[in-house]
Amino acid sequence: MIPKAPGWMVEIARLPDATLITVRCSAEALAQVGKPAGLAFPHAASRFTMTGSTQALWIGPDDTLVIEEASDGRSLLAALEQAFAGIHAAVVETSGNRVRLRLSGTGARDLMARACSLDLEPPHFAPGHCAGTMMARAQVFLMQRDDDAAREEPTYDILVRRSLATYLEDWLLTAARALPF
Amino acid sequence: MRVAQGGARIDRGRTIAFTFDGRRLQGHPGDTLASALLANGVHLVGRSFKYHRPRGILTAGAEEPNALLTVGEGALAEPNARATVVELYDGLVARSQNAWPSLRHDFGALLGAAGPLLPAGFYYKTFLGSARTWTRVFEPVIRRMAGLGPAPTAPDPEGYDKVHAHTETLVIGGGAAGREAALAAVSAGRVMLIDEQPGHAPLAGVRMLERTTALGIYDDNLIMAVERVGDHLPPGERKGPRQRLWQVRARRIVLATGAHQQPCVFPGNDVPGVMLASAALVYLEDYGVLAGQRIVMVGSADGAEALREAGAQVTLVGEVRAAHGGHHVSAITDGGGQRIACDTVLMAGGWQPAVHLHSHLGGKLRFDDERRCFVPLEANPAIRSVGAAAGDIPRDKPPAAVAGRKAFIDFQNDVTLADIDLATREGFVSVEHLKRYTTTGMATDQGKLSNLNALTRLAHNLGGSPGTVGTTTFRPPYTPVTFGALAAHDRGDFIDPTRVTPLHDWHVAAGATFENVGQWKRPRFYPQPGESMDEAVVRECRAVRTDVGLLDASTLGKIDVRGPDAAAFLELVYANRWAKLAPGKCRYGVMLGEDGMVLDDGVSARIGEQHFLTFTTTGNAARVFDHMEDYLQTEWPHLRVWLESVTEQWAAMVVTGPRARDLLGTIASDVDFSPGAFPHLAWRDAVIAGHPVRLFRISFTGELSIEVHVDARFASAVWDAIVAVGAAFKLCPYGTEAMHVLRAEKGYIIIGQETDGTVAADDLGLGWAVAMTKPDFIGKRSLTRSDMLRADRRQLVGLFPAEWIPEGAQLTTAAGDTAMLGHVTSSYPHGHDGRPFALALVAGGRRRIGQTLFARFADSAVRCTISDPVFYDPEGARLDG
Repeated sequence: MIPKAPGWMVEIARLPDATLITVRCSAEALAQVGKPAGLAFPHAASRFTMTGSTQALWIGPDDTLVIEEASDGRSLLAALEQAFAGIHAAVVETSGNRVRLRLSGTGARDLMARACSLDLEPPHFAPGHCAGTMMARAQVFLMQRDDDAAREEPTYDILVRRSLATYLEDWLLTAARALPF
Repeated sequence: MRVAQGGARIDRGRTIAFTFDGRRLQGHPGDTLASALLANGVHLVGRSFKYHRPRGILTAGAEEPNALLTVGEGALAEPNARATVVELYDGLVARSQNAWPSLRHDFGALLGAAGPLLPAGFYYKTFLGSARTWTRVFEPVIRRMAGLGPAPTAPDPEGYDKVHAHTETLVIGGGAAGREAALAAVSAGRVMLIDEQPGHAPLAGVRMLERTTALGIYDDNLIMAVERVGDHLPPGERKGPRQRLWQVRARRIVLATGAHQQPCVFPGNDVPGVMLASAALVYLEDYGVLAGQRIVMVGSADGAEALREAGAQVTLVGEVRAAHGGHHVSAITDGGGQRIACDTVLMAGGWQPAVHLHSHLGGKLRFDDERRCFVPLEANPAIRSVGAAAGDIPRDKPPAAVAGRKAFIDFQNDVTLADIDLATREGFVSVEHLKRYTTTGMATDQGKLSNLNALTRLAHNLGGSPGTVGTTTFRPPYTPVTFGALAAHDRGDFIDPTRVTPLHDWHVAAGATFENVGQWKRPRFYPQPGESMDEAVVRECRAVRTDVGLLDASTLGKIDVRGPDAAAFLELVYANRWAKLAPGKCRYGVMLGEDGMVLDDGVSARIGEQHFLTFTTTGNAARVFDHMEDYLQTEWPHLRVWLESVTEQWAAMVVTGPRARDLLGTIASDVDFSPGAFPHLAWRDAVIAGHPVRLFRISFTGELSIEVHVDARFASAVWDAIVAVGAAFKLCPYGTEAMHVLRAEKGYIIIGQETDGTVAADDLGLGWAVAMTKPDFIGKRSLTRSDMLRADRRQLVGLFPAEWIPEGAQLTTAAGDTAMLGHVTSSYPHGHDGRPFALALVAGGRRRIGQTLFARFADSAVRCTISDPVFYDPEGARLDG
């Protein structure tokens, strides 16, 4: 292990419940819809966009996940339903499906290396990147949030199935104990 | 003994204490356990596997076959540690293995005298008898005699870490060739270098992992390596994990793993004091330890000068005919028949590149006649061998093998030259047969020192070259690895993920006893103080039948099905009809596999013209989703349908019992509960505690039943609102056990309990849910197979047993019969009338209603009367409350 600087730390926090909206449609349809309610959709694989505080994640070729920080995102849901009306698409509220965890601190990337087999070092994974992957034995969507690629302390947002959130938190806290050594 | 020369690795300024078999000894920081033992004149360190021969230290590295010791005490004890790679620490406790009553006076060594009775393949020839003789006599005896060190019985108190890493170049081996390759790769991206030993000078731009052994290379250049983080420290000073498993994904792999010097083959080549010449030089140069005073060298004179300078008397011989001695070598007979007194014999039997990792991904080998070893054939452009691993080795001319008693080929598995010769005579001429028959190369050292000699001998016997004989396959791990490192964090509570519902904390506070349903924790029952499970379940069932119960059903699978072809899609994946189901209505459906057997069941609700919500069983949620997505993408890509798992989007709570409507009526707004407005198998939107909910009239208990579905974020608020008004209605939370009893009384099946993949819908009395007039659906074609139409298929029936019977009990016509008619699928001690009852699958069961059968289990036979599987309210009068 590379020796850690003094003051090494990692923080695992549960983010407030947000509104999650899953949009299923073809890439062509997504491009055709443009920017409903001003929302910019991601068109590149494994990237997410930010429109104000609203994030849109490329999950798959026909799968986009929108995260609206407000807990009651009914107006955005309605706007998206309207924008996709008449197109072969599904706009499904999935707010309850997942819990968001935020991992930050000097040890965040090292802790992620315990849980996740992806290469998370820049440029392989950088701010604006997202991925559907496994952490420990839980399926997650992973995002790197901060803006500065050169930062030594990346911040990760993790969307984990609600039922598995406690398992993953406990797992990360246990694994974190091995990090300074 | 320790001499003034050499000792690059040790700190002579400090002395540390350790014990071996209780003897207090001293060494220096930097010593290995082996170097410290040799410094103290200890050569006898173990007894061999089969003959209990005295065994000494043969090597100075990972390839050591002999010096296997138990290091540490109690739960921290590590059996079979190779003394040559164990770093000495203050207070280290080491014990010899496989010897009784003591290492010097070992009872098992008497077997050595019986050696001729234990030839190659002796276990195939000797241990003949009944299976019982093997398990009761032979195996326990063999296990005791041939034991390696015993594993500790207490749980391992130490921690293990596991980490993923990615690199453009991974160099395995930190010798000169490895360091050169690492530096050359720095310009091409990230470089990692791993080496087994500590004390490497850093290299600019190279991430160095020391005390790390590469165990194996797997597909797509995944390398597993174990780092010994705390093993070199006294237990009291270990702070972090003991070991760390590295899973490294590398674009390019450079193998700089070196070569292993091979032993010479002659009678007595295993006597303590006989060791590899290269090892003796390592002990001198790195640890300042001279292996002996009077040294005989055979095979090569390399290092003789250094040994002489350190004070040894060195004799070079061209051949050793035999080494003599018991616990320590005392003399040899040379090629001329002359006896030479000595205390050390150094063997130089040629070199074999460490090609193990090269071979793990299928890398081929070529026998090099000039160098007399197998060298790697480069074929995988991502994996390259350099230095000694590539065959850059000294050109020693090892002496030919000398036959005779106790000339060892495989030191760890006690395979002798005579065993190889016997195997050849008996016709085991393939390397794979030779290996299995003699066990050569099958010990924990994986034949690092035996394969070349064994193959050379086999080739000699067959009159060919080792190149034509070939090698066996090297498999991971390169050296033994502890399970703890492989499991790392995934042990104890983390051995399998635990899934909990949004209402879990409430259940815990309510004192629920949980059961595992797949990965889910579900409340099984909520015992009151002093109440047994049986009493709690009876109370919970009665509450549902007389007042109202509350169940957390959030674990049910839920799939959102949308699109213009949603109904057409469901028509294909379910056996029953959906096209004409009106929005606002629900319907029970049966899903079949291609074989026509029941795969899953559940209710689906039509939310809108192009929108369904499909419910699956808890255990099959992911499987059914995959099944549906699979068919959608591969068989019916023309159908315009989107599927989305919303299992965790919706928390589900079942309010069931005669007072369910009255209870919800007090808290749910925006809904008309009257049976006319909201009938059975309908759903309605409503609001509870300010949150929008969906209410479904679905019953799994036979009582008036309303499922409340709410966004999981608001599950607690809605559950609490129900509980808050519950007292006025005698609301009783109930668990899965009462749920099982209540549904069984109604003859409702549970997938995986009444079904096992061989049960058809008609067998379960669900033929009404199979619409054979539909043009197609999954499994339809299989339903007309002759086997599906047999009259004696096993059919679901009820049983009234004379007393409680276990699930799985076999059913026979008479109490002493052996012809099995079926088995018990569900069984409960108390139905609504207090009697035990059960569900069973019985051949031609529906025609047997009223007959008597016997449930057979252990030595019991319990009389059962066959009944209709619906025990309670067969008219369904209670569904409306």
